Amino acid sequence: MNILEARNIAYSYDGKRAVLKNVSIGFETGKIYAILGPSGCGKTTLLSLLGGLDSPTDGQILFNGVDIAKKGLAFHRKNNVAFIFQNYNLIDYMTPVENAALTSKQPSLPFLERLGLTREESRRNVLRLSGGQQQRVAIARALASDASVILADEPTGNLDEDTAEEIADILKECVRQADKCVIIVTHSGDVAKRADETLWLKRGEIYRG
Amino acid sequence: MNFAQRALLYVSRKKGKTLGLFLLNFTVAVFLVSSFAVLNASKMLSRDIRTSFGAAFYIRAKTEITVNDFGETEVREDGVNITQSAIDEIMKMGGIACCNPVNYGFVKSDDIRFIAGDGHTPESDIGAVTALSFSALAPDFADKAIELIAGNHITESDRGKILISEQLANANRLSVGDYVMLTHAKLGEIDGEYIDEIPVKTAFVQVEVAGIYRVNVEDTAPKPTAGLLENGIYASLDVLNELKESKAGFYTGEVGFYITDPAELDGIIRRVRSLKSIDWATHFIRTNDFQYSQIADELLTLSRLMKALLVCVSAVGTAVLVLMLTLCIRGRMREVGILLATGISKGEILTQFLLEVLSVTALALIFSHAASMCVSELLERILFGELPDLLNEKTLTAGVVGGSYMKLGGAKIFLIYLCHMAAVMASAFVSSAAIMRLNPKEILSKMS
Repeated sequence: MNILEARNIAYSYDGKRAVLKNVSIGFETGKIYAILGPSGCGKTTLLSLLGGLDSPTDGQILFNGVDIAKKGLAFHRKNNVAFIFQNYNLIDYMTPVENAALTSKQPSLPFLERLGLTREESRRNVLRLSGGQQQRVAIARALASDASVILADEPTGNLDEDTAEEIADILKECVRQADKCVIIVTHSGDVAKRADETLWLKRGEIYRG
Repeated sequence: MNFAQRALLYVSRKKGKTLGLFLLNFTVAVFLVSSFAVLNASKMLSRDIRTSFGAAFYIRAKTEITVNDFGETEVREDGVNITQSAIDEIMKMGGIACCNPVNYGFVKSDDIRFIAGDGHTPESDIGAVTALSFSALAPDFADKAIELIAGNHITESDRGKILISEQLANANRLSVGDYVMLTHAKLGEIDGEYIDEIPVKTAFVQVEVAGIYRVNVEDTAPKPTAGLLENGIYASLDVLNELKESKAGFYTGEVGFYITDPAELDGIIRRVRSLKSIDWATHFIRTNDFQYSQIADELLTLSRLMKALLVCVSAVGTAVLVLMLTLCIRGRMREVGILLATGISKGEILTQFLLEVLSVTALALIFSHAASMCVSELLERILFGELPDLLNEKTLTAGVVGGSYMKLGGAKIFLIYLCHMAAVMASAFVSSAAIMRLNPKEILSKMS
């Protein structure tokens, strides 16, 4: 059973340049999906549409079989999906604990500790953490949000090789433990290797790898 | 985490931006309240001055100047005075706020050495006294030939008070609050030499220096000591009575009557002229609304200046606020993107921004209230320090709330603060509009 599904979606800028053409793909829980493809092929656009950051020019995005446009994109973003960005996107006047608790009602400290941050680090300003630590905070925020689907846009793009592998392992472990669906847009072969399914996006069309 | 918690975190953690916003609101609020206070004060004072002595007419006994057979000039005053009963009769007619009777005389003092004039001798060390009810209404003060630089003007209720010139004060090391003993004198002339025609002194009075004035005009013509402007003494009416140079209730000088409404001047003059108790063959009447128009013009100018200042402060303050908030909110585009990506609605984000701005503004307004009071008090001293002396006590107590012209009522202050908050709120809306129009993907694209 697909938790998230793109059905015949198309997307174009200004109605002229088509970025996605009739894309249909389904995603299941407990699995990691890696979306690969050359720069500018529409990977991030697809992720944005799946996450309700934008609407497709044609087709539907379904969550548990229901069109996300019906309840509103903000509702979808708040309740169904969580984002992890390449540049972490943490709020700079909040501590890791506060960032991770942004949309969560449950205590965020256990998530941060599980991802390797100490209590002291968790109460420091986020800008005083390393890149790897900031990305851990972003992952903690996604996990604490209770969303069933985690959408990660180049989550290891700004990290060194060792940290990137560590983050990829953390994501994989979290998926197994929490039974979530993780969709990762990446250029990294190492990250793609850890995925259960690899998808290729070329000239606006999607192929299973 | 709800919007209020996020707003609290932002305000407490982003100290520089919060302080900037606080200071801007604080400054604008102080300017606004102070300007409104001055505007309000100038209106109230204008009204009170108008009520007190909108225009004036003066009655005085005729003097006749003749040249005798020896070619000497003689001033004949017919010994006619204005009496208190005549004044009372005129005052009863209504429409008159106050009157300013004047007596003239001369004094000597062991405590004062007068500035030496033409042909000065110890005998002629005499000063001329103008005794009156309101010194501020004396023609020399009204014309700015002299101006008060320390202390207070003489008003109707004062007893044993004098004003002296700056030169006289310096020469005798006198300052406001000092006491001097005065005695009577009469300036005479024998063989071209000025003398005191009262060699044996029988009347003395101790007086307090209530104020010091500066002489703004230069007069180089030779004059006896008593004729110099610098040696002029303005005194409360009782001083010359004590020195037996005048009788209580009889006035040798011009008596000014200040009417409440300048429009009624002609009618009042007609009624005064019909009074039988005054012999119009020996008295004459003249009218003047110069003093009112002079003060009213100054207040009108001040009022216009304040209105212009208010418009400028409001416009510049709002523009700076919009600019500051725009810069501040644009700098928070990443945050808006993050919040939108996590499913927080635009309305909730805008509410957070408004709460931040309004809470800082409210705090600034509370602090600015105390500062505004201090600034208003200072401005009151600078702008209106002397003017209330022009008014009699009745007008002051009847027309002024709490004795201060600069005090704005609670409702007015509340209205100013309410408008300020509304302007801040509108500024926050305008500043946020550019970002709030974008969809989350556009914001996140701009961020990356």
